[in-house]
Amino acid sequence: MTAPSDSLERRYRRLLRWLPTDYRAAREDEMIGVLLQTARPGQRRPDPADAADLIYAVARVWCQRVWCRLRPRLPAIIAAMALLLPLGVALLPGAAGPPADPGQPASLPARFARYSTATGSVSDAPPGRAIALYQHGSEPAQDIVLSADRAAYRQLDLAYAHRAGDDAFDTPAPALLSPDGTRVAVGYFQAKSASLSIQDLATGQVTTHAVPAPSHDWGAGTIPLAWSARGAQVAFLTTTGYNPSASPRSVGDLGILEPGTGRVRTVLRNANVAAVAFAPDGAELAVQDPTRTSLRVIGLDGTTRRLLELPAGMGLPGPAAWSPDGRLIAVAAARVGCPDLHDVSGTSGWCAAGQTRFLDATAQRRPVPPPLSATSRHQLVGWSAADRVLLVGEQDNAGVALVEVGLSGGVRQVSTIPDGGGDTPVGAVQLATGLLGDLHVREPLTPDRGRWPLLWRIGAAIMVTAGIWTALGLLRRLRVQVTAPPAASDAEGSAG
Amino acid sequence: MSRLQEPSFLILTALAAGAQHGYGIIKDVQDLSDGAVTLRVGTLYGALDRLALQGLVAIDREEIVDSRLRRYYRLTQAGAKQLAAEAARQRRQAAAALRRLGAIEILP
Repeated sequence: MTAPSDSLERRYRRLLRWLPTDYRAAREDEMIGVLLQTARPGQRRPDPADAADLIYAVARVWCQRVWCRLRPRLPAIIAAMALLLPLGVALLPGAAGPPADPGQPASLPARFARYSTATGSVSDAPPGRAIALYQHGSEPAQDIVLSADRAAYRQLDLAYAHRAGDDAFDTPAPALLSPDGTRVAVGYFQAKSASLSIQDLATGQVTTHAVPAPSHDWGAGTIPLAWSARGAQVAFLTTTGYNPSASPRSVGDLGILEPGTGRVRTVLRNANVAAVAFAPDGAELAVQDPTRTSLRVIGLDGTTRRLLELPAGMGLPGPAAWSPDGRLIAVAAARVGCPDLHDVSGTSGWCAAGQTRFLDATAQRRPVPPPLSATSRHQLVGWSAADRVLLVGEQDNAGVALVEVGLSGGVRQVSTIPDGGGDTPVGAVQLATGLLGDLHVREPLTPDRGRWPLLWRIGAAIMVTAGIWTALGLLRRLRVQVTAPPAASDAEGSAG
Repeated sequence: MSRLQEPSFLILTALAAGAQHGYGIIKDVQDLSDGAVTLRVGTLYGALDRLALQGLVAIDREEIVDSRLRRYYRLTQAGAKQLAAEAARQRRQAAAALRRLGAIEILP
């Protein structure tokens, strides 16, 4: 059996093996002798403190050998690294979320997460395909994207980057979620030139397309209005630039962008357009002119195909108005005092209608379902089937509820979004309308908010830097271990 | 003349009584500090390397005891001079502190 001292010596020698060869030749035996003299009787393993001290001694010798010349500059180097390393980590781009399983149905939580200033951005940590885009909070509001496959919440930072100015309360730019939830289209209220940006929610990549716009001293505004069902086209309105909180605009050129090819065409010039909705096959657009009493259905070349008579005071509730079977178009009573005509595309909070009716989209006077009546204000945001719609509605001053309503009866609450009080209202709720047919409701999970916002990360980096400096200071003090007087020590060997 | 850190001061003090080997220095420093300071081996040899580089200590002799190398270190003239200067400086500071403590009568 190996004697304890042999075992201990072997372990000490293993530690000292890392010393430079010549130093080891000169010192190892001497140090081993002292180490064994200070050991307790029967001790087989080095004390952790002794081991740490020897590792530090090895590092010190190497330091003297290899880069001792740098020593005068060492504090500056350590200071720079202690600052630059955490900052570098803070500024590194985040990783994309896991790819969605194409066969997996989309899902919504039974209750959305609360407002949080710690929610990271789409660009830093793309969430993958989304089921919802909504506004949370105010001045500035957050545009929040919720993953269709997991509890990932992200701020749509592109909408904030394109935001209106201080005089418009930093309102995020108008943004529109694609039907399959994989992209968002983001415009501007006022920019030097008109453009529409498409951000991929799986990669965070942004593609910006210049679009034609009326020339004006106020610059241009670009409002995405509707995606076609397959996501091949985005209808948008270009206007003169404007302040969304002061002077809403609806007059401009209606255009269509094909994000896949970048092709842009102007469909209507100098038109008054409050909202549009694509037909399910993407071949027609329902266009609402707020000054007219009929809804105009046009081809993509701008020619009028038919006119649908509107009930008094009603208009398109948004881009999800057309039923997936192409038979019906929903219309709703516009709320009096609605701050922005293009509210549904995320411009200025929730602007709900009080009643929803249905028109025969073919104008052949076929029978249509009875109106949907609700005691509270609501807004149609999608269709889960040809005979079922999804509405968002107020919920006892505690946020909004998402409910599924059958056109022939039956109501099911799907989810709720808490508003968290007066400073964090919920608005401009959009759903990925192409994912609603097989939508599952999942239990709320702990939210994954991605990487912290940049300012939070920089703050954390500074804290880490301070921590590193404190640790370095402590390490210097620990070089000499100050202990209480030892008890009658069993390490008292012969001093020779 | 640079100031000595506490472990260096205690090591030079230990060697002021005569040449000592590594373990002897550790024990002596423990005694000198009334058990408050325990030098670990890595720290001891780090300090000895530094003091040797500054010319304050030197190797006195080597012995083989129980088949193990035992190296003795001694204080150099420069080391004695620096230790004396440091001791005088500490004595002045201690005296000043004691005078003031005496003035407010908190000494036992």
